[in-house]
Amino acid sequence: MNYKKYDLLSYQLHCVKIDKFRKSQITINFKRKVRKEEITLRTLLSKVLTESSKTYPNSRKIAIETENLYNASFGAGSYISGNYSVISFDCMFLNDEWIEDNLFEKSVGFLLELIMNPHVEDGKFFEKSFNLAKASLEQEIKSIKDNPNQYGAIRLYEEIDANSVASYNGIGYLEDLEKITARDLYEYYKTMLTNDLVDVFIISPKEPEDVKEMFGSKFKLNVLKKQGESHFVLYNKYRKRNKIVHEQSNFKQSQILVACKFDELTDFERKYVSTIYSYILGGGPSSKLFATVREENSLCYSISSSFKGIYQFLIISAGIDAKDFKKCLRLIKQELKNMAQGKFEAEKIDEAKITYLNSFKELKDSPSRILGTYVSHEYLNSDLIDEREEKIKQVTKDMIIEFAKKLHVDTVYVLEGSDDDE
Amino acid sequence: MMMNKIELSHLGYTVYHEKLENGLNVYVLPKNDVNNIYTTFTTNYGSNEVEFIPIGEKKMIKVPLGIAHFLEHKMFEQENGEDPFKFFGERGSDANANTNYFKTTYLFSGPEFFDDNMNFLLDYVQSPHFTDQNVEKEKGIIEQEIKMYQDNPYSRMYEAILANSLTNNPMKNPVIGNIKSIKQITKEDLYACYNTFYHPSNMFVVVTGNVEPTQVFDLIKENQAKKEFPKEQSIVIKDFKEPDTVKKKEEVINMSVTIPKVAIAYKINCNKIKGYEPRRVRQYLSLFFDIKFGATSIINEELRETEVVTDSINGFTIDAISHSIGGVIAETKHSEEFLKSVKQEITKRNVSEEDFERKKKTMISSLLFMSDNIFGLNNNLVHYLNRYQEIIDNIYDEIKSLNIKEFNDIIEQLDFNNYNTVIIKSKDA
Repeated sequence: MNYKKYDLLSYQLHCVKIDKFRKSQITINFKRKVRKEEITLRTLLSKVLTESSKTYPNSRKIAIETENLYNASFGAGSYISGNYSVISFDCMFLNDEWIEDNLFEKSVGFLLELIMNPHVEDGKFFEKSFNLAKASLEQEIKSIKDNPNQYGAIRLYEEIDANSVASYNGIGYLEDLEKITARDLYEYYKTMLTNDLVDVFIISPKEPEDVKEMFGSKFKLNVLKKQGESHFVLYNKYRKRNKIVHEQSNFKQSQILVACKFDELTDFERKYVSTIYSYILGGGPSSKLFATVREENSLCYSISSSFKGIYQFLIISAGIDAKDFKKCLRLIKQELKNMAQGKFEAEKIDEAKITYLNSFKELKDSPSRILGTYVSHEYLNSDLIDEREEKIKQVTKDMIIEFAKKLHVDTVYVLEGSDDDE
Repeated sequence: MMMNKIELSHLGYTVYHEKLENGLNVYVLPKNDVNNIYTTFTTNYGSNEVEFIPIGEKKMIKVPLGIAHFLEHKMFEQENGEDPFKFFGERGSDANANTNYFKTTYLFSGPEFFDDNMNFLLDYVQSPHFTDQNVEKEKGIIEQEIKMYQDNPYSRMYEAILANSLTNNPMKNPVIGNIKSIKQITKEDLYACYNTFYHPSNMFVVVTGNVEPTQVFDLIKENQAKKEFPKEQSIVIKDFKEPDTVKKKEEVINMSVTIPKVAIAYKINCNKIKGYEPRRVRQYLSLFFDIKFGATSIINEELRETEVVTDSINGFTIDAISHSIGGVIAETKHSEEFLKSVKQEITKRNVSEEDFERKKKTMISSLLFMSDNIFGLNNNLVHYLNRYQEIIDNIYDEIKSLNIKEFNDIIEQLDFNNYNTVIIKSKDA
């Protein structure tokens, strides 16, 4: 595997060359510092740009062209990465040697067509496409509350701190969506091209120099860009007494979500100790939470913990009956206390490390996951795979206990269902 | 037993196969440019088999719904208390299991410790340990799993389509059963199912990834030779006759959803089309629903432009063995208009040759995308072995040979008169 990064002044081009896959992937990201009032504009923009383009003036024509390209999968979306909002365009397609076609150039050309050649009339996006995309986003925002996991996660972050970037809903807000016109959005689109920081990530069997030449000639933005800042959002303030929020819902199953904050963490703790800790606590069927809450007490089907490095939160979630909430919370808190007291076997640490290392072996079998490590490296300063494989081995039991002591339960959110047995 | 070699046309892979003395079939697809290894151990027993004659007995019994899935959960209990998840976890491997209408599969994946993992997989699946206590304990857990699926509108939709399409075909029942039925399950029921359906002759192993075939065969043979198995016997399952007509024509389900979900499902008998194998008919049926009702269809464009739907509609097909169910699903507040449009469109049987040939491209690419990873390859083999008891080695050639003349001939003969509709919406909608 061979990685080369090129600074092409108006954007950065990251090329990964690898021979063993049958498919390639390109990701083109536009990012800027997140502002709440811009979130909906950016999500809507990603939808409008994939609804139609100048050459393919409606979604049917776009779908037909992607099928012509042997079902190259094109997608666009907008997400929040800590302090930044990223509009991301992706394309995955088969490599040329499997199909008698120049698929690489055609797929790149098509992706750039969507981004750079929008369907615009009279200084605004083509109204029909704009309205379809807007209706689709409206539906998506309204449907958040139909999905218990999605809804629960958003509500939890709002309850942790409604004023923080972490509480922003990455999909968008209805009150903002209503006001956006096709003209507004086109004006915003122009600023995306001139103001956003742009990164292009490509993984393919092609030589980086060839990719640079091809891309450089097709993708031009006439602006000089400055460097970005850290994506990380740091919180050290936690509640002395955890907040507990109950909310009624129409779901059958209830959910409990526990958000934990930390005292100041070192870089190594955030990147490595956290991973081992979270695996032991709630990383799967051999974890403490699984054993206690599910197997010993039959209170849930799924329970897990997840460390969000960008906010330095640890989130524990489980699907339960609301009547068991107090018992479940008590068991969770007991396991957190056990971790801080070192009540876990040394074998668990070895197991976590082996799993982590093996997950990298698996990661190397997937082009999109490999590409993802370069995106994290660029945006979150994550170490590349080789370095990660070395550093994880350095995590000790004392470090895990130290980390566990820094943890404080901050907010508990319970989305109550009907617990109906019917 | 001799090792067979099966070349998968155009994909650049070879599958090696041996059948062991105890009847177990083993398949290995080496892919040595990756690090990982994925192994599945499958029994041809899923939620469909609820009425059968237990091995060694004479009378037909009926077991509670959801038992195959329940058994899958209980398989992880070991007499010595060893936890399979812990065993695989310690070796940095992922382990899991899944059950559907037709099969139950136990699996692991990991780049290291293959020998340990393979032996352990065979051992834990071949040593059932069901007690009154451990059966009782599982009921609370599966109850939560059922509730989780019941909160998913697409899960509910899929189950309702099958329940209303089918009268006697066991696919009318959800794989997981229901809260009432799982409460009835006893350890005796579990042993009856296990002893009947988990005989090696009813099971197969598939290994894909960074392995050497002869080493895999030797390892498994050595493991199996240490164990004693009862003689292979044929399994008697209750037969059923499924009518071509649907059981219930309409259903409305109340769930808290923002936008109603609407589906129309056509029940088609693919087994009686003159001159064509049912599998071929199913391929064309799938193409038909994709061309007529997928993202590139004219009806989709019209429905979006007239604001009947916001997001694209989708065509789908379900293989229910005795029949296929082909349908269309959409999110819409205008269910009447949507259903009317579909019913009108389905009478227009012709498709353009351009659309047809382009869809063939997408079938080729699906095959190639699938072949780029050991999970896709393994799942593909397991599907064909379970469904057809053989590996189809020329899927690429089959796709290339699909043609519009056959398509028209087959679609012309299909009967689209038997359908049902399902709407999921909020009470106040």
